[in-house]
Amino acid sequence: MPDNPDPVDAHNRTIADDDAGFVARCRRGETEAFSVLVRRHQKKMLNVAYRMIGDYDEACDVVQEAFLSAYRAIGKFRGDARFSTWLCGIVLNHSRSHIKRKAARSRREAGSLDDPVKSKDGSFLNEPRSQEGSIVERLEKRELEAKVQECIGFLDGEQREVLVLRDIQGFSYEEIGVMLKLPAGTVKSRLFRARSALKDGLFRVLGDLR
Amino acid sequence: MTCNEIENRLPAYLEDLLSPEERKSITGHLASCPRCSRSFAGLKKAEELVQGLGEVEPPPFFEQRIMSRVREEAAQRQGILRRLFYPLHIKIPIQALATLLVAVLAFHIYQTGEPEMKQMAPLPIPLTELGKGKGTADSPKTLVSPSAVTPVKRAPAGDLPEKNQRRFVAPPFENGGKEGRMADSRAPIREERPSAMKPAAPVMAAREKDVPPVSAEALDKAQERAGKQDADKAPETLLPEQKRKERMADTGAAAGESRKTMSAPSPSRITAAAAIKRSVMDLTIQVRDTDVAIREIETRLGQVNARIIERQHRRGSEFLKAEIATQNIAALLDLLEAIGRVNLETSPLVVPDGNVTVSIKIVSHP
Repeated sequence: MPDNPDPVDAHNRTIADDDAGFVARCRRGETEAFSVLVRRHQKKMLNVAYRMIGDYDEACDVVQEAFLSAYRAIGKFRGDARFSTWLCGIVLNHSRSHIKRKAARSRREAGSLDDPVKSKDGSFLNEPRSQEGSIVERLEKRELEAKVQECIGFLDGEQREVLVLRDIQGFSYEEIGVMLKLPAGTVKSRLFRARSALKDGLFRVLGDLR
Repeated sequence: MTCNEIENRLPAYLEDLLSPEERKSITGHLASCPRCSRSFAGLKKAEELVQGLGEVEPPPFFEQRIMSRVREEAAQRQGILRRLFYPLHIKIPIQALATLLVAVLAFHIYQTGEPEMKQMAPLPIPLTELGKGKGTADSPKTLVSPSAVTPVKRAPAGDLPEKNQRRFVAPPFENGGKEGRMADSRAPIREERPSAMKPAAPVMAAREKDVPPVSAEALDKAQERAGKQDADKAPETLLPEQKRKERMADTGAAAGESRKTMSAPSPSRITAAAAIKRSVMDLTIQVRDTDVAIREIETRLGQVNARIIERQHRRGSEFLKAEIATQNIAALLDLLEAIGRVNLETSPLVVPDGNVTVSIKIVSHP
């Protein structure tokens, strides 16, 4: 399977899917055919979940559950989209549920001192606002990624989904539309809002992005 | 356009999704507005940062972990079917259910085959008595399998009067007898049918040999004598009687004639069975042409004062249902014998002065 799936042609629904044979074997009850699908897609699905959730171990658990759900429901997969698209939709659903549960749990518990706290105007009060030097100089790459991931985590859930799927995972607008059951136009406008929001968040966290 | 409007369009501008006019306008604005220019640069940098995020690798044995869960799931699914047959705690209910099913089936089969089973009841003694009296002169050659009749012959004598009455069916003897004669390889149950209907057979035998017709009184007397007879004597006397029946088969006319005599003993025997309500007789007649035959049968029914109740045509067979006086059954059977081969399916237990419903199935048999 290609890492970046080709856009789905809206007028021609015939989709070439390298996974179709293995999916068919799974539907016939060949459990081992599913291991090929797991091997092919585990990394991409893990990255989607990780960028959505922001925690590696939790993402691993979510992906594991998502694969299990996919196996249970493979009989319902009609093949009108790529298997990877269908699987990614399942991972997103599991990620959303996980985030909701986590948010509910954190509301019940006291917030960590390390957590960024939003002020009334939405800015993050406990973040440094150094304006000196370039960001690359100021932060190590790893730290920078952590900050970017943190800012992604502060995005609204819908905006985060489209940003992760498009800008990080490189899915086409049509595929994202299939996963989220949205028209491509809505996906685009939501993505533009997500990018603007992320830029604002990065400004607040990192200062000048130049 | 204001700076806010420009800022809202910057993502689309970055993706080159705007019209050339809008694009030109924004390009011009960005060159002159530091705030919008900084915002645009920030947007580009944010996108760059996001796209530059490295990929995380799955933990070691991640695939194996997932697959072990999947296999567990698959085993559980298969287990549902397997458990139905393997572990004892599930198997026992299945066995119980199977036993119950067998019992129900057996009961159903018994119910369905009830008439035949009843025909296997003990042989009436009068027959043996009469057979002994009239038939000892005949040579003992027989085609009837002794095993088929032995259980009947060994019936206890005490049971005889009642059973005799219950089993008495005026017309079917000859038919049953014929069947027994024509196919000696048939199952014993079919062979036994004539034996169970013995009362008329001796009469027929007597007729055949030109002995005076046996009256009802004579038969009753014979029956009484039979009660005193030792049941073990029956086997000896039965064989000649069977032989006589064979001879009757060879001469159809003789059979027809002898059948006429049956109406005489019938009423006297039926008297004791007055309480028995069953009064339906099913018979099948095999004919060359059903259309011709049905007309003939209707005529014959009229001759014996039978009232036709129902007429049906099903899958190439004709069905006639008629009500007939008990005493006319024998006459009707004689008439039907002349039309085709008559097989009695079930025999009625009739009330002496009552009516019997005769259900006739006419099948084509070239």
